[in-house]
Amino acid sequence: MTMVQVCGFVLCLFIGLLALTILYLIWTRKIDLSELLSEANGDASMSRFQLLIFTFVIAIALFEIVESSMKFPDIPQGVLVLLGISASTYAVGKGISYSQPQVMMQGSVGKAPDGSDVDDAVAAAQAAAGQAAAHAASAQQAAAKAQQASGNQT
Amino acid sequence: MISPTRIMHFEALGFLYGLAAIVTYQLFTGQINLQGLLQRKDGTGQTSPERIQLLLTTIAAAARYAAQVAQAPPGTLPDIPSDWLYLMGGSSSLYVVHKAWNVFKAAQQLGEKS
Repeated sequence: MTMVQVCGFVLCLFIGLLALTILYLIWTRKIDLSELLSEANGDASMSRFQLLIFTFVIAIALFEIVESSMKFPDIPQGVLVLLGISASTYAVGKGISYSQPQVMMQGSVGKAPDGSDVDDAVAAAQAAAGQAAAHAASAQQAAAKAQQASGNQT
Repeated sequence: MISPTRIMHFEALGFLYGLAAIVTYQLFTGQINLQGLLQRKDGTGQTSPERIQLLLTTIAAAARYAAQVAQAPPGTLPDIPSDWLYLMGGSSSLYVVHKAWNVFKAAQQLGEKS
């Protein structure tokens, strides 16, 4: 085995481990993709979704072609125009949204800026308040009992 | 013995398809947020026709291109017909113009209220 082959195998091992680690971290949500398509107000963005679909389709097509012919093909003008249209839609959409931030935040569909659901948060806060009240009542009862018990002892 | 080039090929293929599979899985299970994807962002919460048409055009164009790639001669990336580019351009323009109209109208209404 030559030195070049050894270097090739080491490089393969490194890239393979890197790819596996990235996929594992995405799967276990340590690399969080939940906001991949979200705007600043927490709503999903149509232009991001479009860009994601085209990127995947063209990346997979390009990879298959490189793999079958073992050379990098010329990228046709039409593909570049399509990606340009998609990216421009995304950029212009962002420009419009951020030019009126008060409308963007007011127009969100039941979401807080951090992506959490407002209704869920309110319900959780109410439940927590109810629990706290129940705990306070039982603590008062326990304190009263303890006071009574100490009174009886004296 | 298998060559490093062949190993690299399988690694890249596995990564690309693995990433696509995880993103698709997370989209379908709701782990990637899709809330409000087809709704207007002007506070009314109504379903937006221009978003639906953009979604349909996007899916149709992507599917058509994937079919073209499958039928293309080996080693060439197929070009996209100009009529599909006009369709995508028109659909995206409609979406952007409608979005601008809605956002500026909502901003005007907010300004009048305050």
